[in-house]
Amino acid sequence: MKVADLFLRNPLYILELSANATAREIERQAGKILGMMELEVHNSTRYPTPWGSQPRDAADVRLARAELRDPVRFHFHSFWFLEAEYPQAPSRN
Amino acid sequence: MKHHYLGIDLGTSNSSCALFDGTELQVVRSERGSSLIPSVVRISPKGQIFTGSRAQRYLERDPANTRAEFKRLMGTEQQMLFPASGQSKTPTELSAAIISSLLDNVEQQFNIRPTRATVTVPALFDLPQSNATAEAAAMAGLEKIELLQEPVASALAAGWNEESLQQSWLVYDLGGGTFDASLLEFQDGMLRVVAHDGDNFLGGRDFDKLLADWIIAAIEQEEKQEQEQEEEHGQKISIQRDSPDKDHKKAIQLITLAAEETKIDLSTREESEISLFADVEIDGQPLDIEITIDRTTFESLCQPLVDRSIEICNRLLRENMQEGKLDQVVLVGGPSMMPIIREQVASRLAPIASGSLDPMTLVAQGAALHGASTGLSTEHDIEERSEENKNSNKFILQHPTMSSDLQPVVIGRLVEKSEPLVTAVQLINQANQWSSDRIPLEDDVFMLDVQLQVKTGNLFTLNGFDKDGSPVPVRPETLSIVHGISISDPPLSRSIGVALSNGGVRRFFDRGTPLPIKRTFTHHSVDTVLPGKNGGAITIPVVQGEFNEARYCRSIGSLIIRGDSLKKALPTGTGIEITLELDRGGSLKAQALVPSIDKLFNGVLHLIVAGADLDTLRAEAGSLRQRLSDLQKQAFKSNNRKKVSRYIGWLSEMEEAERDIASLQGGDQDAGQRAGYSLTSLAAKIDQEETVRQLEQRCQEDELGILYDCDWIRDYGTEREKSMLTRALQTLEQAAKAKDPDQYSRQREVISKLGTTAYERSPDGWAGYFEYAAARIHEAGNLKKGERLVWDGRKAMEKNDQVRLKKIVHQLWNLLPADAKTRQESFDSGIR
Repeated sequence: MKVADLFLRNPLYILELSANATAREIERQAGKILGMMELEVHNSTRYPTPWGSQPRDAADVRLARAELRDPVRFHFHSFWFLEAEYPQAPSRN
Repeated sequence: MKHHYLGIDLGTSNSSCALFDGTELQVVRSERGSSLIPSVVRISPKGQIFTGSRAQRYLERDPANTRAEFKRLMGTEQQMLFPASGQSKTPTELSAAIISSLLDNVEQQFNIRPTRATVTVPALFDLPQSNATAEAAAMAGLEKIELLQEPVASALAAGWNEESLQQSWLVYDLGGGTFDASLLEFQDGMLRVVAHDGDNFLGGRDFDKLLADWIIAAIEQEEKQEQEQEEEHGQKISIQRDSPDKDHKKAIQLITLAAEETKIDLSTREESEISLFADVEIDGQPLDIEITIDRTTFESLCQPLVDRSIEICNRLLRENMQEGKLDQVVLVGGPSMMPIIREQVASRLAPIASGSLDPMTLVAQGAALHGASTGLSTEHDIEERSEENKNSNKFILQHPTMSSDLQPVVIGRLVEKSEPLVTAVQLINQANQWSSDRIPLEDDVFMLDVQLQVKTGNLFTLNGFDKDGSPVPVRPETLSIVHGISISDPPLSRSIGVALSNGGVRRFFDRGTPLPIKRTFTHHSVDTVLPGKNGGAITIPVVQGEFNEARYCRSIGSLIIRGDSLKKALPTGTGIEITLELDRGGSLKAQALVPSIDKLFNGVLHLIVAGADLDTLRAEAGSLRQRLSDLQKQAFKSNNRKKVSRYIGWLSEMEEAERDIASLQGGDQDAGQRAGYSLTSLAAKIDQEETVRQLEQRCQEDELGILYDCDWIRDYGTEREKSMLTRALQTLEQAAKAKDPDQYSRQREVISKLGTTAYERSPDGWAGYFEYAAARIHEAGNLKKGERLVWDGRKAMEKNDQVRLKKIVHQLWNLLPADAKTRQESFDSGIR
């Protein structure tokens, strides 16, 4: 993994979650984004980061969900996660 | 409308199925009332097919026309003969007959003939085996299926049935032919498969085989004693597993059946009598057996197999969790009911989950529940047909069909509009009368959280409203969500990639990757393929395994681009975009896109388990035994006890593989498959060990190369590269001292890369590469193109055009073939 990916491709960004996300929030958010992608909801294939929006596909979302489900991996990603104000998320709720 | 979800457990010895209606989970029973049907097929002389217990009766009376345990040969091209009718069937066709018979039972009991179902496969099934299972289901008339790994199914069912499941648990699934161990984590109703391990060739059948061997030895011993008492010197009875003689084969089959009955008997009794008076003569003497065996003797025979299964579990636990953190074990499969297994699993792993779970049907129950979580309802077709007749606003909905979350999200998009137009929607749960607010559509989309009633099916009515707030008809009228367990995406059990002509592997998916997954990589052809039948082909071998060398991985199929499918030649070096896609059940799709001719090659992947050829296996075993013996001698010489004991373990694996090869000679194809697996795994271990031994020699051979690299870096490297070299040289030396071949190889590669980079900066670097490639141009796949490139290269050198020269050298490399032996070991890969 490239160092830049630790930031830009951080699963917490991909799922638009905070570092305090619970297991339930991870599931709900991933399911919601996958559903939005399936229905081709506007902007569901991009996610915001402090360095600008990035593209994502269904495989990225599933991988992100799998990474965050693992408590050890969750800690690893939350270490690299910079909690910051970023542009409005594309999800609707 | 009530939805039904069908789950099928296609087992080695027995099969079963279960139906879930969103609330109740029911095991489907046969007309005789049994929840299991034996996975046995018989074809009568008139060609009539019998399955289940009607076929099982004939296993003893007419073994030639009755087949069992064909699941272990799924994915092979083995033809199974039924001489009386003159027919032959593949294991896939026989499995289809079993599935069809299960569907008959569903129809009889519930008056529905399902066209969709979830079918389970062992977690460690190779892709061709999973693929063959999907094919069998399609042959049986199922239009849509999902494959699900057996341990995930058991876990789902255990999670549904058990109120007090602990956080971490292990599924110990010992079936008739396979053993799966899965580590699962259960939290907040969410089930996560942490990892799994197993052995595709360890099952109840192996316990039967051990007992059968004991019976054969006991017969011979009894015979010997009788002869000694009566002072006779006649021929002793000797039953040979590897004999092609039909009497020996029949005797082995009868003894194995008796062994299976005895094993079951010993699960509840302390002692069992084995009586067999068969109409078979061995070397002119009738087969007449009457022996008694007690449970202690049987358990001492089984101990190595039990140890093997527990070692697999321990390996899984060591790799994935802290010691002592496992909460409980769920036992699955008939053989797991043996007292020795229950006792040792409980004492060596963790307490066994409550006894209320039925180990025989747990997998089928879980598969039915999974059907609900993926929306694979048996009634889907009927619903679609009735909807087609309606003229109203149509939505496509996205929501989980089973969820542990009491407030899942429902998203909908309006895809077909009609007057009056729907502008807002509302969902009402018929189970608890919960009602959502009226949500206005935004860009034709709505999204809302709904409320579920606990552990039951929740049927929601979707109501539409126009801009004035008046109700308007919408489709679908209802949606259903079951509150239950959410399951994580299943992880891939073995890495998958493609073999390259240089002997390496391009890994597409790593072990543990959540399914489904899809990836594309670009590779280049190493041969020219001309249009037409004799134009040749590009083979892209798909392999499964954890090694970087293709020869140690299992070839599971090939993507082949043949000349007869081309209108235009594909020259050497043609770019090919290879895409592999795996679904949740491990079903693989592959495609190759050749952008230069804008052609997509679809569905050309032929998945097949490589056949076990007797001569090849014998030769391989002979060579491995020799190499192992050399290693042993070396270990004895250096008095290295640790290694001596390691090699003794390998030797017993070797002996087991040799016994399997002997059984293959006697016609046991399954044993041949197992021998193939064992030898590949042994070869990898021996190779690794030899690499350690050869490290000293390698260090000497590398000396000169490292000196050259250091020279180039000193003259043309950057300061950063020079400091990297210093670090790499230190680590390399430490690795050589510690006899760590992996670390040594990594550091050697770093030095080599640094050296190459520096060399390419030297004024004559690319000219040197060019001259080397030009000297081999007669080997080029496309000689004409090669000669033109050499000509262009010389021109570029004259003009000192380094950029152009570099480009030409790369093109020349793509034209030159890989070494033939390496390519053969890479399953004749045609790509680099």
